[in-house]
Order: sequence, then C-alpha cells, then structure tokens
Amino acid sequence: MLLSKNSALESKDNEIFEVEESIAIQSELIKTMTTMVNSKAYVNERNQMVPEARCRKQANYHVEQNNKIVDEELSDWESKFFEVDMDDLHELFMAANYLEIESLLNGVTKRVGDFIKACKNVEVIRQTFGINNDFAAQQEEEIRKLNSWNHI
Amino acid sequence: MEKKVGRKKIKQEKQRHDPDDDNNPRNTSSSRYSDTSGLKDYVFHQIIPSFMYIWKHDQEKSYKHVDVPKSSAKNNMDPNDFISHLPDDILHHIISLLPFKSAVRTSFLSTHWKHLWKEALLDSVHDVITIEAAITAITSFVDDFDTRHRPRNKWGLIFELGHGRGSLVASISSNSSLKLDFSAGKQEFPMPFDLFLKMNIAPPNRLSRRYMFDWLLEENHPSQSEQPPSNTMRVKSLHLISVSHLSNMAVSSLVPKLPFLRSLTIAKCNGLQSLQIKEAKGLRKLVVLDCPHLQSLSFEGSSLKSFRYRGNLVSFRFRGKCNCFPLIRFCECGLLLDDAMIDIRQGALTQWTWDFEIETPFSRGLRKGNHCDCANKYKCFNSILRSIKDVQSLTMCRWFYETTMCKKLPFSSRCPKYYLSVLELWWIDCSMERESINALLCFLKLCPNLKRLNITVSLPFL
Repeated sequence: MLLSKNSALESKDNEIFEVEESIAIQSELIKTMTTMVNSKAYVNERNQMVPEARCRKQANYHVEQNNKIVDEELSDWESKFFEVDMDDLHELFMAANYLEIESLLNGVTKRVGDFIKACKNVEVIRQTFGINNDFAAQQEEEIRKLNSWNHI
Repeated sequence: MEKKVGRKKIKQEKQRHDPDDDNNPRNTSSSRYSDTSGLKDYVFHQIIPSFMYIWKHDQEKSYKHVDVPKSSAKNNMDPNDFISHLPDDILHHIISLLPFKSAVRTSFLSTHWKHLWKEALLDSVHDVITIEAAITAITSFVDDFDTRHRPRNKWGLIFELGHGRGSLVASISSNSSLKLDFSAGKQEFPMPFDLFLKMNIAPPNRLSRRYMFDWLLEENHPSQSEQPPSNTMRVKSLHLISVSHLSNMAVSSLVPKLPFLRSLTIAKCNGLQSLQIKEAKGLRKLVVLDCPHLQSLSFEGSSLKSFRYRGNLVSFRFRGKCNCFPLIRFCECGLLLDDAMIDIRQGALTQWTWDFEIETPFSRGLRKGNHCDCANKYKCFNSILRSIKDVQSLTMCRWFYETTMCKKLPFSSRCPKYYLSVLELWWIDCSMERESINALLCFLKLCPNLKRLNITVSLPFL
C-alpha cells in the first residue's frame, strides 16, 4: 500500500500516531475533517480530547482489522480485543463515541450487551456496572409486582 | 458573531502552521483573494472547517454524540457508572441487542433506565385516538410480525391516546405472548367495571383418540375453517395489565380472536369488580393479581392446570364442564390443577365463597356424597381441600386455612378425608408465633408427600 497517505493523529497527551489514511477515515470525525481540508497535518489538533491509550487502541484496532482477511480470525481477535474490564470498556466507548467509528462502537455495545445477558438478575447488573439504585421504596414494591406479572 | 470567531481561529492556525509545511496550499494566502476560484478554495479550506470546529465543540447540543453530563449529581447517578451516562442512542442500541426479557428487565435498574426499553423496542404511534382503533392496529401489527425476518428492534407499539385515556403499550415476545398495558394515569377513585371474557378457545387435543366422538358435541369453531391461522390467532399467552372502564369493551372484543390462548394474566386492574371467563376450554393457566376492588371471579373451562391469585379473598366460582362421551371414564377434562397459588395475605372481604365444581360424567352420580355437612358448604375447608387435592405446587396463607376450618377437621385423631398430593408448599404467614407453627403443623399432616417447604413471613399489606 505504498500509495496511501499516512495521517498523523495527535492525542491529548501529545503523542503522534501515524496511521494509514484508509484506516483513519473509518472514524467519521476524522473523515469529515480530512475531506474538507485535504491535508494531513491539519487534523492534528482536533484530537485534543482523546488521551493516549484510547488513541493507541483505535490505531491498533483498525490496523488489525484491516489486516485480518479471514472472517474467523477476525471474530476471534475481536472477541479477545473486547475482553477487557469495565474501565477499559468505558475508555473504548468514549473514544468510539467521540471519533464516531461505527464498527468499534458496534463491537463495544455488543460486548456490553453480552455482559447484561450474562447477568442473572437486576442486582447483578447493577453491581457489574455500578448503577445506583435510586428507586424509592414504594417504587421498588411496584417493580416487584410488575416483575411478577411479567414472569409468572 | 460566529464569523468573527472563525476568522480569529484562522489567523491562529495560519501562524501555527506557516513555518511547518511549505507545501500547504493555504500558505499562499494573499494571492487567493484576487480571484473567485481562490475565494472558493479559501471558503472550503479555511472557513468551513473552522465553522465545523466551532459547531461541534462550542455548541455541544448540536453535536449528537458529545452528551456526557458534566455533573452527574443532577441525575442521581454514580459518577463511576459510565454506562448510564452514555447517550440514549447508544443505550437503545445495547437494549436492542438483548433478548426481549432481558431488555424489559433493564427497566428495573434505575430511574434513568426505566423507560429506555420502551423507547428502544417499541414503535411509537401518535395518530390513533380510540382504544378500539389501537387494538385493531395491534392485531395488524401482530399479523405482520415475523420473528425470523423482521429487524429485531421493534417488538411492539406504544400508543399515546389523548384526552386522558392514557397510553397503551403493546408488546410481543418470542414465545407468542402478547402483553397489553393500559395505564391511564393515577386515579384516586377508579370507576368500577366488570370484565366479561367469552374466550372461544379451542380445547386441546381435539384430534386425540379419546375425543373421537367429541366433535359431535362441539359447537362450530372458527379455527375449523380452511384458512391457516393468522399470527394473531396464534397468540398463546395474553397479559392484560391495568385494564380500566375505558378499555374493558375493547379487551372483551379482542379476546375471542385468540382461539389458541393457553395462558391469561390479568393484573393491576383498579376498579375491576367482577371477572367472568367463559368458554375457556383450552386455557391452561389463569393468573389474577393485584386487583384491589375485585369481588368475584368466575371461571368456566375444562383444562385449567395452573391458577394463581393474589389479592383479597373473593368469591371464587369454578366450573369445569366436560363434554366427553359418557363412556369415557378417565378423560383429561376437569379442573385438575397442578399448580395453585392463593396469596391472600391482604385479607378477605366479608362475603366470599369457594365454589369449585368439576362435572364429569363419571362423577356426576357421586357428587352428592362428597359434600360435608357444614352450614355453609361454599366455605368449607373440605370442599376447598377437595379442589386442591391434586395440586402439586401449592401456595397458601395460614389465615385462609384457619378461617375455613370447619368442625370435622384434622385436629381429631381420625384420618382426614383427603390427603393432598402436594410436593412443594409455599406457606405465607405474618409471624412465626406458636399458633402459627401449630397451624402449619396441622396442615402438614395433610401433606404426606411433601418434598419442599418454603415459608414466607411477611407483614400484611395495608
């Protein structure tokens, strides 16, 4: 791929990543900017909010994704890539959200969905994600009843 | 204002990048103003990106993704709880990936999540005004519903009916179960109404050998027609929640269209005074929960296997009529419950009865001998006992047992008239005092086959 241009992306921690342009434009945000500007250096300062770790992950993700041709390998690699703990998942989410990378976002949402599916009941979900239960006691009662209507 | 700011930014950028890149076309700025093509270039390469920069970062509201609230305190959310902070679009996406039951369960996580599943999974309908029209729309939605090919993110409809009629949430889950939730908002004094459901259900096993002669006795049934059953007809389980005086007619007209219904759940119907279910030959499961004004419940059907009730003790009347050919002795008709839950910790109204009769050709002659000599045969524990004697999983309250004891009861040394085949007993009581334990022990004498006992001690609801 000698003809493809490399974009230099600068992260919040001022680290510069060189990625192929074809990978960089998977991010909608970067794509919009590059199509407008048609210049590689211009893109740098836009990444003010993305800390380094995320950016590296993005770069890795895309590079790997584009390198894997076989579907099986890709899905294996993807499942390993997303087997991270909550904090990392949070980071990936924020990054995918900010940079608007659809495939990454899909991967992360699927992972969160799998987490929720695996939880046996509401309490476990709350503990896994750290969700605060702010229902009043009466609402809890209503919910308990509602639960019985749904599941009996 | 924007343009000014834009220009300032351009200047800053120019200063920053001038020394860096000689190949940058922007550097030849002075010559660009002289011709229009250059101006266009200038506009495209300078001003618009800057506008975009401003638009995206200064006006965060117009940028669809950047929606992270700066202070989580306003929403009562834990700052460590990142998932609830995500924008609603993404949460909808996550919910749509879950199986339907899990998705509905997410509504119990916190107040933020309460309505997300509805937004994610239900189509919103605004142009329907009457409940009858809504029901028609629901039946056509169900008919078009194809679980295999349909994009999985729309599992029902939510109707906002105006004029104080509240909203109707209709949802289908993959096991042919239709749930209708009519919530008309809170009413202090709900208008009383009666619900009369003429079910028109086909009895099960019509073609089994035992019922060879059965077809002679049956009325004409619409399912005998040549057309394949529509999806609506295939609904096996119906949940009706918060039916009110506004919606009872519509519900009564919907119910005969479901000839293969096997399970009916009626819950939280404020104002419901009497519930009558007729011609429910194939209905296997009936669940009635939390209808505070209910006074009487009447059921006519022959295949009920599971009955669950929670609320006040009301007048129950069950008739299991069997039309089998008289020579058949061991037909499967009759109200032979496997599972009965009678959770009446709320107490009783003054008038209540328990009228449970199974009429089979075989037992017709013997019926008279089964009644005891109590003054009130409809409140006698023996007749209650007889009706639940084949139940394998039973939920019962202690005070119900005590209230219905008539004199001929198992305190005496004689063997009780009936032993129960209960395998699993759920016993509800409000205390574990001596008397309560005694009552439980007396009841346990009637259950020689018991394998599992669960005791719930809870204060009665006020």
